[in-house]
Amino acid sequence: MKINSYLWNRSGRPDPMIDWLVTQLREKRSDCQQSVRPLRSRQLWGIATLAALLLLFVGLNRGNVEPNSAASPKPSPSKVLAQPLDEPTVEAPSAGQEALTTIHESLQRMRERTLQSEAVSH
Amino acid sequence: MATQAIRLEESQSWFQITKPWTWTKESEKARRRRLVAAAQHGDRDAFSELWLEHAPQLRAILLSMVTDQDAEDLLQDVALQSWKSLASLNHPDRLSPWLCTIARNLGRDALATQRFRPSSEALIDPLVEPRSEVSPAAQTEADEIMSSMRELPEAYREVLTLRLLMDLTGPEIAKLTGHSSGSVRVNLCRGMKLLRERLEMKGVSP
Repeated sequence: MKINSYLWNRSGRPDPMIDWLVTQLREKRSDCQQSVRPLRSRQLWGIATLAALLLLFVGLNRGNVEPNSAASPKPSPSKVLAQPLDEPTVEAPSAGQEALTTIHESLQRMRERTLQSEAVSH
Repeated sequence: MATQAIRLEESQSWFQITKPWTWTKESEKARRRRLVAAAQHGDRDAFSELWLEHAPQLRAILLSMVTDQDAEDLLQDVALQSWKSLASLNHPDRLSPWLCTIARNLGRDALATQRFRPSSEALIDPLVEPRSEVSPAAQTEADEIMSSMRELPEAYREVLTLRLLMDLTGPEIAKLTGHSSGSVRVNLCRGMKLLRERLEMKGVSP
C-alpha cells in the first residue's frame, strides 16, 4: 500500500485536504482539551450556585414582607381620621438615650464642682 | 564487589549524561510508574494527574463513536471505571492503551444499548446551542466531518479521529492505543481514502 507520509507523521509534501480537516476540527480539539475538568463537579457547582441564589432571594424577600395583620392589627379608619395630620409624633426616649443623658448630667455636675473648688482655692 | 557496584552506577550515570534524551525518556517512564503505583494505592492526586494527561485523547476516542454531549457524559464513566478498576492494571507502562480500551468498550456498550442518540441527530438537536464565537457554517462543517468519520468502520474512525481531531502523528497514535505501527499506518491510509470519498459525495471539501 502506498503510504502518505504527511498523513503518517506530517513529513513530506503537505496534503491540503488533511490540513483543511485539521483546521476545521480545531474548535472541537480545543473542546477536548478543555474537557478535563469533571462534568459532575461543574453540575454540582451549578446546583450550589442556584441554591445560594434562591436562598438569597428568599432572604431578601422576607425582609420586605409587611407585618402580619394578626400580629399587629391595622388601626381602624376612624382612629386614623381622628389623629391630627400635622401633629408630630413624640416618641418616648429609649433606655440608651436615658443612660446617655444621665452620664452627661453627672459629668456636668462634676465639672461645676471642680470649677467651684478651684475658685475657692484661689 | 562494592567498588564494582559504584563503577557500574558511575558508568550508568555517564551514559545518561551523554544521552540526555534517554535520561528524559526514562525519567518520564519512571514518573508515570510512580503515579500509577500511587493511584493504585488510592492517591487521588496521582490519578488526577494521570487523568489530565489522557482525558483529551479519550474524549476524542469517544467522539469517534458518539456526539459531543454524549462523549462528555461517557468520559465521566471512563474516569469512574478506571479509578475503580485501576488495581487490576498489571503493567503501569500499558496505562494509555488500558484507558483507551475502557473508553472504547464504554462507547460500544452505549451504542449497543441505544443509551445515546445516533450521531446524525446532533445536527438537529435543539438542546445543543451553537457556539457564538464559531460561525454556524464552520460548526456545521466540523459536525459534518465528524459525522462522516463516525460512519467509517471502527478500525478506521478511531485512528482518523486521533489524527485529524487531536492532530497526533501515526507513531503517537500507536503508542497511545497500543496498536502496532503497521496496523495504525494501514488503517490511517484506508480510512483517509474512504473519508475523502464520503466528503466529496457530500460536497464537503476545501
